[in-house]
Amino acid sequence: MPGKIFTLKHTVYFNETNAMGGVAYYSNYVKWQGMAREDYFIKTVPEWKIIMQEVAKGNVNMLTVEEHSHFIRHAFFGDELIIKLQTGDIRKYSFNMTFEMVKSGTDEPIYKGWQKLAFDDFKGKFISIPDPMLKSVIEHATEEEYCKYLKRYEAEQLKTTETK
Amino acid sequence: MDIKSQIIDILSDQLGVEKDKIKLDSKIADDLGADSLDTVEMTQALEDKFNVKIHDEAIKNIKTVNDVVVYLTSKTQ
Repeated sequence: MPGKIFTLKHTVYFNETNAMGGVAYYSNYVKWQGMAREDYFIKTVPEWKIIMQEVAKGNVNMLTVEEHSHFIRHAFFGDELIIKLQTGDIRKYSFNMTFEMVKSGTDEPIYKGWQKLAFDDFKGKFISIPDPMLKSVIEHATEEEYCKYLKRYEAEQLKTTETK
Repeated sequence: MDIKSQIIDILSDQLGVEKDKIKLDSKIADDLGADSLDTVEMTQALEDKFNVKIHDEAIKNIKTVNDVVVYLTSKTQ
């Protein structure tokens, strides 16, 4: 079932702040996107190690093709952040990850961002989202994005069902 | 729905462009903003919809929406 939200807690360290009042330096938010993304794969895709073996063999390459950030409020040294991750815009060869960060104990977002991930064969030919990963991606889609996915691939799913 | 309207529906969904902005002479890359990933996703969606195989050589020659319409009309007749 879709609608799951993956979360990661992270405390802001000195080395993530700048000299201007100790606020978290902007590029760290992208780094935190990456941390949440990796934790998400490790914890929600049981076959993650098999996929990584395929990466090592040169069969599957995961690409970040786009990334967006919207900075809403400062984060400071010592703040505990909750990084929330969901998926969307699920297509044959790509999907988006959306990120929302709040300070622990609050609901007010301090940051919103998203990135688009795609897969290729290391030679520039795009390949489908690996099946074990797709299952988790669908489970973490919002209801709205899940409906869009169903509508988009309805015909293909019907064909698959008919051939089974 | 005619083939042109079906193609515009798919391009609108795949490229995130409003249908009324998609014209027959729109260039898929320059006017509609398709990058290489968009092109692959769009091609797959067209293949699924029309149950045809669009060959790599044909994709290289498709520049405008009209090129898509002409190509798919010839493949589906």
